[in-house]
Amino acid sequence: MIRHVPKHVLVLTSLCALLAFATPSLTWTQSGTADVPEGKTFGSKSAPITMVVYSDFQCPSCRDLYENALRQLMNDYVPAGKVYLVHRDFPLPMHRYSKIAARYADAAARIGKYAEVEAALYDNQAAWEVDGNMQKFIAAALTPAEMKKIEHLMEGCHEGDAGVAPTKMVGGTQAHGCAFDAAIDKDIALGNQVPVRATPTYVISCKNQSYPATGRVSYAILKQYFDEVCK
Amino acid sequence: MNESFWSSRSRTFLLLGRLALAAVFLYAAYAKLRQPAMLFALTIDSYQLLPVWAVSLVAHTLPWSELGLGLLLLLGWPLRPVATLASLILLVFFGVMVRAYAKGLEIDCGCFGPGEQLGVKTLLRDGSLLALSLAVTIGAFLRRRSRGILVSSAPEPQRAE
Repeated sequence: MIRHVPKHVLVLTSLCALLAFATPSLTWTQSGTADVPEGKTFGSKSAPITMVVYSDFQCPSCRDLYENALRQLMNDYVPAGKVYLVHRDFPLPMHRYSKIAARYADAAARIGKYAEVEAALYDNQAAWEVDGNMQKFIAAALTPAEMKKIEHLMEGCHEGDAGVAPTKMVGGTQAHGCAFDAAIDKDIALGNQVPVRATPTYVISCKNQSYPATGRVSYAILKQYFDEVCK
Repeated sequence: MNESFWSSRSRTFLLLGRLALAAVFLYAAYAKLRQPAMLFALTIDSYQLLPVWAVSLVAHTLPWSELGLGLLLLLGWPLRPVATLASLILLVFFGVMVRAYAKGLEIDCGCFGPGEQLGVKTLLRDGSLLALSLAVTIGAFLRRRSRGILVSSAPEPQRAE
């Protein structure tokens, strides 16, 4: 019977079969959950689903992801113990103020106020991305005492901010004495392993499988993903 | 350059073009079907084009459609409608990608599974595939037409006296 099948069909079918076996699996190993400052993680470590988000506070798609999915996730699946959410910084060099925003968010994480500052930064992104003046929005989300603590932690972190030309670039980031830069560089290095090619990139891990995805997503689709793939 | 030379050339082009398109559709289907359908849904949703119900529907059905189309292209029958359908699908893909790129969306292409960012390279590749598919479609129609003309213009056999 096989003699009646055209030769080219047989050849192409064999090639496809070979390709199917030869192509490596497009799954990623679970990474990015170790060595995260506690204030930047939400939910229980033992949750069945882990979601690691690499984002840039000045990127519009990152804001969309936060506003359309992550905010609801942090109020729904995270407190329910279903999702362990990990935030990682991935400030892009093309965004002038994203690094300083990441430093403020990391400082806020130190005093347990990451969620408040993250919301303030994303909610007012359109305003502060013009001139880099994000402090007033952060201050509005915190008490004066909390803001004072953050400003104290941010000492040495304002060098190389808006309007100041970078003096030295090491691995895409500026080298100076800010306490949070080492952690940010570590996040970037971890992101490059994923690899993060654009922000936001998020890696969802469940049932010993990890899949990365890029761009904004609506909460309804994200929930369907969790319910269908991670059930 | 006689007619049979061109006829042979066009037949070879049609065959190779059809097989290349079949391989592309089959590989695209394979790359998507080996991942959870909802992972593809995340990529479709990032294009910010379809409502939630349509995102899920497309994510679950498109890979199977690509598989079917790839198999039909492989068999080469019926070539005209199948090549037309392939061209239409590639035209839609290309249009959606150009729109996303023009809007500045930094997202995955989703063409052959996850992990490939939408950019100039992916646009050039999909544009080339669209051009190939259109050429195969036009070739399939011209082949039929020329066959028809040849048949109708052929001299009638002389009756035996």
